[in-house]
Amino acid sequence: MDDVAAIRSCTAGNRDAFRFLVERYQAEAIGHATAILGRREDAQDAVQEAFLDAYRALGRFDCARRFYPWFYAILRNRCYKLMVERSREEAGFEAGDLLDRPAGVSVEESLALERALLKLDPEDRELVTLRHLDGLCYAELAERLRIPLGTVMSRLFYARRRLRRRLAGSEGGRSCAERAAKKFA
Amino acid sequence: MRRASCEEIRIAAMTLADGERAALTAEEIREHLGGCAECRQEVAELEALSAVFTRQRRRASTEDVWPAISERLAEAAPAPQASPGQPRILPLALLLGAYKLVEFVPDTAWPLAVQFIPLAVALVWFLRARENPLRVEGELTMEGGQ
Repeated sequence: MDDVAAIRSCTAGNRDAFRFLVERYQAEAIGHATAILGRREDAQDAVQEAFLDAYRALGRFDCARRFYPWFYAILRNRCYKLMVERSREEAGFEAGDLLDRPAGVSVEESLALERALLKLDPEDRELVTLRHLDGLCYAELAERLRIPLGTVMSRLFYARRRLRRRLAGSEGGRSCAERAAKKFA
Repeated sequence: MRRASCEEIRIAAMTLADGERAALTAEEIREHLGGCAECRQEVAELEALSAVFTRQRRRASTEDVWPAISERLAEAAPAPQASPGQPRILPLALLLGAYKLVEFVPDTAWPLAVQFIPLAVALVWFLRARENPLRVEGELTMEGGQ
């Protein structure tokens, strides 16, 4: 079965066909949601809700396009909604949910990078991880985030600058959750 | 010609370093970096940061969200597949258009009840399609927009 066959089967009333899509994309989706939300548990909640949103909206899916970029827009929306709800609870982030501990890389380096990433705004974190962990090119970033190519260039530059400053520990100020709440409320 | 600012040079330099097409030429960037230590330093630091990521990867996910989703699928029926290039509203529009044309037939005096036919047809149509004609689709466009 492929994505299109699964989607057609779902819209024809076969609920089990949706399992194919969930199992195919859930790992990627949880990784991406974790990059935005910072916490694995929140990411799982967002992914669940996003898949249900996608299921309801399958009838509007254009089968000529790829499923995951379409689903990513739904997932992103869910993540930012959840972030507004959860940021009011102001729970701290724990490093360890976002990055793996690959062999040959010091644990300190991974932890320092992850802590710095978690101090970024979710939008910066999303952009930087899509670029550097998923290897998306600028055109793909523009498509995924629905922003012009020029905006990708400037936003990526400033996000990396902020990340570098976080890594160097030279940038203090408001917490990430505080800014996220203000931005998306 | 306007000279590019330091910020523009840095953005373009990082764009080039990412293997993308920048708004400035490699020549312009090289020339500026040659004479600007601050730009040179920041670009070098950001390139080093990019290099750090080459040793990192996302934590693999082993979680399975299907059991939780499958429990709730029954209450989340998918919308019927819209046929591409043929909006569902089209037959209604054709019907109402035809009705309007009939109105132009000379020497006919339509009773008041007949004049309400288009409104009644539209109402029944939307009720059958379970569509709210006044609904604003903003959220749907954001969530699943293509």
